[in-house]
Amino acid sequence: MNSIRTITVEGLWTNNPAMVQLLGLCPLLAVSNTFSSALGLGLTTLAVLTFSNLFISLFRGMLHDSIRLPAQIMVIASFVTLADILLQYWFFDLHQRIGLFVALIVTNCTLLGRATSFASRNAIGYATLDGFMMGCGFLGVLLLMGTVREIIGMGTLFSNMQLLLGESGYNLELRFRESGFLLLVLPPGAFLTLGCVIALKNRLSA
Amino acid sequence: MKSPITTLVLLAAVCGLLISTLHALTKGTIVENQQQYATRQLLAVLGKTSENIMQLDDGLYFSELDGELTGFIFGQSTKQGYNGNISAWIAIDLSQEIRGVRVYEHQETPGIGDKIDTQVSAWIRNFDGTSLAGNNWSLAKDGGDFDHFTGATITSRAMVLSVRTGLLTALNNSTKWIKSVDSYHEQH
Repeated sequence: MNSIRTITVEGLWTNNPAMVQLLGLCPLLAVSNTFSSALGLGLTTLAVLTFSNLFISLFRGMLHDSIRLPAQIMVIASFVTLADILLQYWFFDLHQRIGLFVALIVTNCTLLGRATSFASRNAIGYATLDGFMMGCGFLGVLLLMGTVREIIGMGTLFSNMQLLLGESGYNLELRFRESGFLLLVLPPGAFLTLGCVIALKNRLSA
Repeated sequence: MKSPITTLVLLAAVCGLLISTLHALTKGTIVENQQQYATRQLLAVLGKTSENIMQLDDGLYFSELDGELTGFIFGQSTKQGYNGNISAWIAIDLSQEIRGVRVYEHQETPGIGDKIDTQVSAWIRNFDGTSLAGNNWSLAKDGGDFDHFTGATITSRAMVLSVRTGLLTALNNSTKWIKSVDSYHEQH
């Protein structure tokens, strides 16, 4: 049942955290308004999810049922803190923009969900792969929503990529229209876009 | 089998050790990043200039060209934003007219309220050339001179009021600041 193939397909498609499990909606809805912040937070979540799964799987033999949840939350919170520190170290300007949401990764239920239902029951290799694939699935949906919302909502794509890439990112911005349909950048637009994405997914896998 | 509490304590120790190690390793660079960011914003307030900027006090600088005082740059913070503090550098010339405003610290919503950041939008340049006497310091929708940017009335209003407060402070302190520039030169 645990083959590399099934774990991959589950994370990316059949059990995608954002489209099927509907977990982690808080960061998903909050940062998907531009491609650059979606990419920044998506990659951070991917890293935290992979490492927390690895770590939890590593300690799974030691964790008594009564302390399993607090221990997992502590591990996740620690890795989020580490990611927060590293972001300030490497991408200070990006951190100025999405720093608020980095701390919220702790509350992303995808992480606790994977820790409880997968990492604490499986060998390290599989647990790490599961974290990575779930993270990729989450990142994929985040990028798709970021792309759609930025193009329609602001009329641009890849704006502010310099926050991630440094100087070379300034020339990446594509501008399609002078202004956009603002609703898509605002919170209701996040729900509308996610609804369309889920509908499309259900249509495709029906 | 150890008691669960011991395991939890051990795990907490491991996590704590990881975090404090990384913190110790990166602290220097992060503080440097913060200072660089603040200085970059400070220099950007004046735009391209050959003036020298010198520090008078915490959050207060003066600029001069060939030994002649040209103006002041000071920090101004407000809590009226959408989320937390918005801190900005305000540069004025000797006639109390604004030369530039740059936000150096804020936590406004990415994509909406962060248009006060010049990396995102040029809105903040609306303050260039304005003064306490020459402008009506509220948003256009409140009957003033300043347009808000779409979707973020609260952030825009906070900025306008904060800059106004800054100008008032500068006006009330102008003689004191000029005096301290004189004493700065006597000391150096």
